[in-house]
Amino acid sequence: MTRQFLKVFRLARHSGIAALACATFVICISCSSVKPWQKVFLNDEEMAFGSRRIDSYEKTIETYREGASGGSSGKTGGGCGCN
Amino acid sequence: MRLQLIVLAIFSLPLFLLAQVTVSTDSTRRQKTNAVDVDFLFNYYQQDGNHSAVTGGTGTQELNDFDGQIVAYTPIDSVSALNFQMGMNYYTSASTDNIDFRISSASRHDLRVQGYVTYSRKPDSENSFDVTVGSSIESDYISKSLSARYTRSSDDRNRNFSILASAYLDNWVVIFPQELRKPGLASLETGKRQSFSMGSTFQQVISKRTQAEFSAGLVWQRGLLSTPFHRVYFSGKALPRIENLPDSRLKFPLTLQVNHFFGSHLVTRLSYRFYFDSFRISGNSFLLETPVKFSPSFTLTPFYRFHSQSASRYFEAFAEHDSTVVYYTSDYDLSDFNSHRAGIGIHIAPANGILNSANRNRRKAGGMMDEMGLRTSCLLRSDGLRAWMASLNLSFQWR
Repeated sequence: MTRQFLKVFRLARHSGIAALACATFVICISCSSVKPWQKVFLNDEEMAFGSRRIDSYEKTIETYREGASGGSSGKTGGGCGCN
Repeated sequence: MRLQLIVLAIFSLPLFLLAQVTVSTDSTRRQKTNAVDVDFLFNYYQQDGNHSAVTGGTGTQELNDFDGQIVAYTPIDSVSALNFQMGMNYYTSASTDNIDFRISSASRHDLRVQGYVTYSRKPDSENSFDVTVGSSIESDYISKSLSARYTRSSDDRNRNFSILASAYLDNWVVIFPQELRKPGLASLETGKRQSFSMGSTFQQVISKRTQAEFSAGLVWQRGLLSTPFHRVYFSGKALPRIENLPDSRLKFPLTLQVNHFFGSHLVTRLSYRFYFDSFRISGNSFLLETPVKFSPSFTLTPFYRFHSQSASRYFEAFAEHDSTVVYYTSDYDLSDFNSHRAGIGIHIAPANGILNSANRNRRKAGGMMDEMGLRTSCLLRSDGLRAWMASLNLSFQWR
């Protein structure tokens, strides 16, 4: 497993990781402090993160039909004999 | 086709319900604190293609799935609550009927039943945690799961951090393709699969109208990771073999999502997901959702998702594997492909409930149907797989 982990870790040089890291950094340094009475738009239901119950089924289908599934979305790769 | 027409007719129902919507100046939904909430979800999925893994990467992939879920949320006291989720899905699959060519039937069918219980606790305004246990059962597959999550918020609630850990412990009765079975044995040998995952999520308020979330995860699977009734054909060989994959797999997903509120009616949710694993599969996914709030009670959400992935190093098409390789699969879900999924959703949540049910039940038990949601989408994959799915959510509340 250690050899496998090192092999995969080398793959972490993929440009997708770099793009995500840059985007996250830019977002974090551009943050501003928002007071509770200023969060009318932020508190809207449509602004919430996470899967809604109605689209949880779509996440399950993605687990069945995509090899690149598991982890942060839908099922973590267990419970259905799927990918 | 007939079912699609029925779903389109169901989508016309909101036009009638829209007449019941009362315009309210309240831009936020009711807070679910002391109420018991029950959600009924109905899902339908159908697909077709020509790369069934059961027949070595060729053949029909026709499948229909009917899914129903009940989710009940009940507060215990001011800081803790219980959430129950039960469901079952019934599916028919033309491809899995080809596991045994001697048995003739329209298609094989199976039933999967699942149940989960979540205990959540929020002792103060900055900390919360929840624990979930569950299980699912199919005719040949049993799974038990356990997960836990802890969330910490900053003093000003502009920042949240969560960590999550989960484990799935699975057992299944291994069913072999008909021509590859030992004499007198159609299925045997209990296979085991274990999946462990850890994840973290960081949410940050960017401005009065923008917030972002970054999440990272690590998944480790071990045990029987191939599917025993999947055939693999080799170049120059007449007889197939059973799919064989390594008994260990590591997955790394990363996701960034940014939500922004434009004006007073339009929200955009844009997310990007990057993925790679030890099977050499890497994937990029983009999802754009644009909820349009016609009123605080009625929202229309068109969405589009693009997914692209590279093939696993163990994948080859039908009859293209070299017979000397150790690991092999012809499952097109592990191949390289692009997929496009587009759809639309409708969400209705009037202040007085659907069809004014809050006022009608004022002197009764106090229950009302407070929300309704519809969502449908089509999927098109570059290898020819086509799918269509629809979901209906009815939400009830008792105070």
